[in-house]
Amino acid sequence: MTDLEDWLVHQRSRRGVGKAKRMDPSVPAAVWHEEELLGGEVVDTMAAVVRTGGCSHDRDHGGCTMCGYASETPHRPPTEDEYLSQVRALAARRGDARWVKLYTSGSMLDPDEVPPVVLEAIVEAFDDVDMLTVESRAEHITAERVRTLGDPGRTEVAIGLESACDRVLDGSVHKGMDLAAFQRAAAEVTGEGASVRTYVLLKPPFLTEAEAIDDSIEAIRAAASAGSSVVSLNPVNVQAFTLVDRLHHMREWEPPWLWSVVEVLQRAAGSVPSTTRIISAPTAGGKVRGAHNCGRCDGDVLRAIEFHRLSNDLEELDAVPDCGCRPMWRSQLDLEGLMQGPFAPFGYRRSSVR
Amino acid sequence: MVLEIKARDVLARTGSWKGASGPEVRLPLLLRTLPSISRGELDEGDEAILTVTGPGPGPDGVLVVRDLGSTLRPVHRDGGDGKDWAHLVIPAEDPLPPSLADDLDSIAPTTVSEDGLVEVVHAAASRVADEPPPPGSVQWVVMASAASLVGRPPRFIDAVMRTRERAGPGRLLYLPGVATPRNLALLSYLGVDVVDDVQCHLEAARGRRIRPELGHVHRPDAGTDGDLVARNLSTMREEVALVREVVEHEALRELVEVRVRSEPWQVAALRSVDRQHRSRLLPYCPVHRDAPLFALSRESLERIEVTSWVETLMERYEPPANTRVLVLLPCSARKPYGNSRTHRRIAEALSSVPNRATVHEVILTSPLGAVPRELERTYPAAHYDIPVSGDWFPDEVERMRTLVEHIRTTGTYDAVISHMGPGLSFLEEDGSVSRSRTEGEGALDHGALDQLASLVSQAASDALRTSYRERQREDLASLARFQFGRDVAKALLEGGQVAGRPPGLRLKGPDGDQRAMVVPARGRLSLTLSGAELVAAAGHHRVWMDDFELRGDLFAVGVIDADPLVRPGDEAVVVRGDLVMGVGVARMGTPEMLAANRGTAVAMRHHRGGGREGEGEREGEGGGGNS
Repeated sequence: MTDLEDWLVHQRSRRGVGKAKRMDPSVPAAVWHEEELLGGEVVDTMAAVVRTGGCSHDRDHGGCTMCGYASETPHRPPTEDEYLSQVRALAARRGDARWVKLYTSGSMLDPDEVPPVVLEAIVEAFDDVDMLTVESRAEHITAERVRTLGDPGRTEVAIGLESACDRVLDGSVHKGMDLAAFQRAAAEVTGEGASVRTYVLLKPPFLTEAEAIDDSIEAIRAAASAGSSVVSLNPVNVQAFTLVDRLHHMREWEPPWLWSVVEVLQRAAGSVPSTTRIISAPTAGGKVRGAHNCGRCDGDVLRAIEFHRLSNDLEELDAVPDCGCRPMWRSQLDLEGLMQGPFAPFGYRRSSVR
Repeated sequence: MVLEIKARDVLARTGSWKGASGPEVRLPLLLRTLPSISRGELDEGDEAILTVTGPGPGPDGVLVVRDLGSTLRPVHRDGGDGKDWAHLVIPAEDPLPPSLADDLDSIAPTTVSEDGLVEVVHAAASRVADEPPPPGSVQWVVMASAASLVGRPPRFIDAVMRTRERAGPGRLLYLPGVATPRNLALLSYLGVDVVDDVQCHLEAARGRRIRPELGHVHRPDAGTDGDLVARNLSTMREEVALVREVVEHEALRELVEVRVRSEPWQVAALRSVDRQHRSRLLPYCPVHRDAPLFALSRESLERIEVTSWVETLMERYEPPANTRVLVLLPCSARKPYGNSRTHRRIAEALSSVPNRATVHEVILTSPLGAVPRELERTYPAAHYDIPVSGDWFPDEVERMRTLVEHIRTTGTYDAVISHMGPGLSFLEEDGSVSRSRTEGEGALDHGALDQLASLVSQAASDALRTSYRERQREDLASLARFQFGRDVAKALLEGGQVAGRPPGLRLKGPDGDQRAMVVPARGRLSLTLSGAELVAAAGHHRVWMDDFELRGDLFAVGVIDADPLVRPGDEAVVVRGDLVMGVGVARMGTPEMLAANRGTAVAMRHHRGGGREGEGEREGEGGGGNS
């Protein structure tokens, strides 16, 4: 009897060991600068992926169906010296960033993944930023650990909720967490006066495009009512060695339309308090392995989504020019569920004659 | 529930279906998706509504089918579970994409609706085949992921054929999201009863006009852009009507061979059906039809009616005993060959041959390969038509070669004479084959005919003498072997003699009681009660009826068992326990007789001791009924 978890654990064993061996545990996996909206002002932000010993959920349960970050995990955890060398590298590349976002392939607040002494060094290195964001799975979040992050007024904890539907969390995302666990974690963060940033997926596997839109809106509402200051919508993209990758390769799953991203942002905005900002920065947007449209309007729609992210102004989305592919998207929403299986024809949206 | 089959064409069927609630609908059924239609536009009885959220109760006279989505996010909106206004509910199933179907065996491959009427099957999971058929209350079987399997023809065909077999003849098979006017004929050929208009809408949304003839030419005509949905739907409805019509004329295969040419996957799929799934088609394939068989494409060589001819010859055929001279003749357009000008001229030329009864004529042709003269009236030998171009494809020649070899090795020929034209190297290069035609000579040229007569005369006069009566008995034996197999034929012919004039020969027992006669119009033997006793005793072609008095035809509901592979059109001996109760013509194959609750299983010709026997040679027309 093979269930989804067995499948994911087996798949995990097939990830390349050679690549993990070539990873240098003393260097961050990735560092980049981007723009963010902070207190009504667009500020320079440094985002980085810290190389750690890896995600506990991935190690113990095979990870999530769409997450490929586990393949960024080196073959052994970094030593303390190597961690500190990563912190120095990050500090050196900070530049003028007033906001620093630190991700890992798992959880910054998991003491087994990131030693507390390393977290202390990080907090100390960035004690003068206007906002420090660290990412963690819900089960590793406690009030006590939130307190170690320093001034709560400039602390943000980022949590992946993904979906507010427990069936989707279990049977589609394989998150190893339910909605209640997220709500508990968010309360721990807000109870300390720190902010919560919540990630919500758009179109994890096995959902139709229409189901996915409803599911994301539901999750955004749940995230907002749990006190999130920002909800970031992540359209699922194809990452190597994931279940999503396999389904995409077999032509049984496609990333969401950019129209769906717009739809979720618009519809969710009307049903959450204005204290919650809803944004999206689609990874691989416009590419076949990320959220995309017909190929002609992708640039326009992505620009609108980015303007909206930095302005929090819904009119940016309303202003997207219409395109001939929009009726195709509508048709898919209406009819995909009736197919009783993966949407076909695959690649529908990039093969129109118009 | 009532499933009334009006016409069958191998796995395809037309007729009507009526569920526990809701109106009767015609098959094949086109489901129209809401909200994109206005209700007034529906053809009542011809179409039904398929919907997720639904409008509430449908208008009187329209069947409403509701889909509850998947278990990840089941549909709860507007109107609860829809039981109050939908006639059928497609249950929420666990999603299981085909590529994971065999990996994730923790997921149930089948889901049945709460009322037990509709089953969703993840047919890509190979474990589905090992499961017992669904419980009796299931009326519709829905094949999940059908649309996404279309791009992988062998897998698609395998999944459809397994689902069709699992559903059995008593249930409807629905393939969601697949149908277009291009592939409807093929789907129907696979036994799909229910389709929908999803692809018509999707294609219209991307600006495509669906043309049934060509898959890659789909630009809308100028100025019709806005009507694309309506135009695609109207093409679809025309195709549904066309499929119904050709099934009723037993010409679906001809339409399929035309339509599959619109898309490469369809041709691949058809080849996969023909090559990999013969055993699933065969019990449904009639042994006789009145309809012509057009063999116009390469796929025609592989169609079940043709391959079963070839296989029956390979398995059962041996030439009439005591024939010593094999003459290979070209085919004629007119059927049976004997009625053609060509064959009449040849017969004239051979009329003066001495010891004529020892000469065995075999016609070489395509797609059947070879037709022995004594089988020239048997389906499809008297029914097929081919394009005549004068040259052969290698696989056609190979089929002729194989059959000639089989005939030669099972016969006792002293001489082989070929009157065939050029292009058959297996004959031309064989030193033991005499040729009656020289290069460039036509089959009816005087020189060729004279040469044929002289070669045959010479060979026949050297051979052992055989009487015409003896030869007629052997011809009838050969037909019996083709029709019933060697064992049954032996039992049937044991101690028998022939009477009458060809082609209407009769077989009599030693006491003068008639056992069987050749029906010239069908080129097949029809059994009398005493013949039926012999066939039943040999253990073939039996259909067991339940314990009641049989008057008129035997209906499927009265059948409790049947010998394997009784095919539609076969002689069927109706038995109760060990007692032969009558004989007639099977109207359905074994699996359908056993599964169906309605319809005639055997159209009776003779009843034991019944007054109906006096009615003589009734050719198994319907009528009468079970008591």
